[in-house]
Amino acid sequence: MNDSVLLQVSNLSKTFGSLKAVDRISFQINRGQVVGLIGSNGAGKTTTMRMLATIDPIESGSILINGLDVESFPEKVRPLIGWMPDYFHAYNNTSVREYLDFFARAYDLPPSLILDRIQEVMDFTELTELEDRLINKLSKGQTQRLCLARTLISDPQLLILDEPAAGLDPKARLEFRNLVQLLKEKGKTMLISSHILSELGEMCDSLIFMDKGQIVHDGDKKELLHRQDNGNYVYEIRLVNNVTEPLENWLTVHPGWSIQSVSDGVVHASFSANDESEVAEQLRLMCGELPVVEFHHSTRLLEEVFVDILRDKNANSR
Amino acid sequence: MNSTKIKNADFPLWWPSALVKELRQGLRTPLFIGALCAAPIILSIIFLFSFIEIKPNKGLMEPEVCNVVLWGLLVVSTCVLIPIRALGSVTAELTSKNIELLLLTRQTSFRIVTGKWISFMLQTLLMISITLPFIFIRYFYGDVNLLSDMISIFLLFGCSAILTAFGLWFSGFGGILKTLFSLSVFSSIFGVTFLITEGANELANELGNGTWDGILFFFFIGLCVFIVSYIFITFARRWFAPASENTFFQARKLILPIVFVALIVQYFTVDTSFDDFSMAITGISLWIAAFVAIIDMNTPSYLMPVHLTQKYVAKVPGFLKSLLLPGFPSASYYMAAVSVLFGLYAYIMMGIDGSRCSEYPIIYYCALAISAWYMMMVPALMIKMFWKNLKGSAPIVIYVAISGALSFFIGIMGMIEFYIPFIPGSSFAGLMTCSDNLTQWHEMGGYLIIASLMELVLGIVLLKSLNTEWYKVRKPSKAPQLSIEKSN
Repeated sequence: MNDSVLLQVSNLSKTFGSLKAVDRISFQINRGQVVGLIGSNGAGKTTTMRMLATIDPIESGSILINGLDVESFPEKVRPLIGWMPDYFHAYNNTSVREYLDFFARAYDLPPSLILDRIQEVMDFTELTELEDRLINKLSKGQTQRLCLARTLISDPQLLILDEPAAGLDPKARLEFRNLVQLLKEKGKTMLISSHILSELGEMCDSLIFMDKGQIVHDGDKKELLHRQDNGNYVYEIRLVNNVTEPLENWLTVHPGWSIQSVSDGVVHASFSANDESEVAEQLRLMCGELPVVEFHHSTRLLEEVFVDILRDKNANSR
Repeated sequence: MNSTKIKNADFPLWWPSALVKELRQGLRTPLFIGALCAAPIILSIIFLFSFIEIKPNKGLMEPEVCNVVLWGLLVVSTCVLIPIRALGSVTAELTSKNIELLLLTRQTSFRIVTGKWISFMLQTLLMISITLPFIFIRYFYGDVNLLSDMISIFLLFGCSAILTAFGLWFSGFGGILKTLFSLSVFSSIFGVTFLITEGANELANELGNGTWDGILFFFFIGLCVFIVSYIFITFARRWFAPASENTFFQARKLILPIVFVALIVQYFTVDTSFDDFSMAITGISLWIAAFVAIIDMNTPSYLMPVHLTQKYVAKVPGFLKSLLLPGFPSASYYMAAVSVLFGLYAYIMMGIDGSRCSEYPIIYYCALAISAWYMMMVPALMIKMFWKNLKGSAPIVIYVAISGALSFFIGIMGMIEFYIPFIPGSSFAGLMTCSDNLTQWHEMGGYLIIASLMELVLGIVLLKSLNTEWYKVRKPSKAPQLSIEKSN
């Protein structure tokens, strides 16, 4: 296994009765990567994450974390994982600091480091002012930050976050996203699941789509957002004064271009090749003949991409 | 990093997490705070009244009333309230699913459950300590035995330890069983009180005479409390333990050597002054061993390759490994070992004298052991086929029901001295009937021995055929993880 690969999943499966919750999925995550796991409810995201976190036993396949098989060496693998589930149940009569103190002790942190570590995660998640508040009195956003603090207390290598922003208001969601960004800058490796596509699109480098227990797409986020369903990139091109007819004529006569749509002075057109040097040559030609003021990749909505992928999957399965 | 001043910890940082958490939560519950405050207040008022003389040498409150209130409060708070609180502690963890988070820490199920139990025991000690001044005040009444009182407190603590551990185990079961537990704890108040008073007087007399009997008895009670509490704690662990953890190893590893040693001691103390004592110890430890076997055979568990690679199993000799793994066959082998020890116990108990000879042949005791194994194993094996459809305490409840029904049926058959082979318990009942009737043994012995041997064969066939998956995993593994383990 490559040293840069932190998590490797091979042919992972899990069945509940007659339901195949996870069906022979394989993927890998490199160190420092932030990967989004997207799927609708019942796609198999949580089941997958629970197996990665060694909570549920594997039915078939394998999971290697830092080269260690989770089934053979669960006691060695668990300290590497920080798992944040999509639920939280408060302990009675326990404050924020006491809650973190409990988990710090539970992780067997050296006694000399416990207090410092608790303060560090509270500062990072901005819970210091709430340290004496009972955890069952926290708001939803504060609770999620507490869960993240708990997840970080042992300084794990791999963070597995299951629907971390679920139920948060926009402000809390933004705060949480900032925390994830800070963790990313610190080099943490993360696997984040959500069914809210837009927030994952902002946080993640790579996206895995799941549907009915299978992976329907696994790839780089930018490529996914820019590529159309025919595999080609679409460009948004605008001329001076938003005139479109000269541009449409130029695109029609030049081979490889296909006009997708025209609206509000912007022409959406796809080019048959994705090689950057070829695209640069076309841009040079275009700029030599037309007053181009705007030329960039057209970014699709993640939801559109997801729907296209599902449609393709269903078409192929027929 | 923020320069906020770091607070000091309220408990020493080297204390285990589970203990600290349980103490933080437990010491703040209204029930405990109420009991801690109310007990000294009530006792102060009552004892004060007893010192207010309304007549010469007669207080407003009789000393006997003070004694009853004092010991009543102690028994209720330590042997009722604390176990009842333990009954809810595991439930809270299981329903909240917080246990899943703990599994990712270095918390083993043993540390979690033991932390809870120790926390409850510390609270028990706290309750006892606040009543100590009143125990000493009683000496002004006269006719109070300090030694007896201290032994009473020791026995009280022991009862609380066992009941609390039992409550921790039961707290993972369904509502009906927990209700039954609560009722049994309440109804045991009288038994506990009787045990404490009579036992304390008995022990005090023995110790006061300076005999070794009292010291041995003292030690024996302490050992029983430890073993029984440990076993219940081991059962309670199963609510928390992940599938990869072998929770069957500890209890079996503890109890089997104890039974074996007790048998050896009993063998060498036949017809001595320690005969009754050693027989009692062996009998009790055998009961505990059989209880563990029954619970294990009715606890759904599956053998995983990781169980075979776990280091502590690797250090155990190969033939013992089979006794100490998860899965039904292991529990059955363990039951077989207990049955063999039971056969030895019967051999020692049933008539060997100074000449070390028994009136019954060795084959009798072998048949007894086989039929005991068959009687315990087969109903559990039938229930095992439905493990995937049964949840929680259902296997144990069904086992008890089946055993009860079989006992009733065999009892009726026994009246007409008709023992049907292959019915679990039938041969065993026949052999036990012959145990004090040599004539009957001579008449039916051959038939019962053949029946036992047939049951042995059937038992082995059923065990092998209904547990093929276990035997497949049990074979020496050539899986890569073993080579990884060696290379590490």
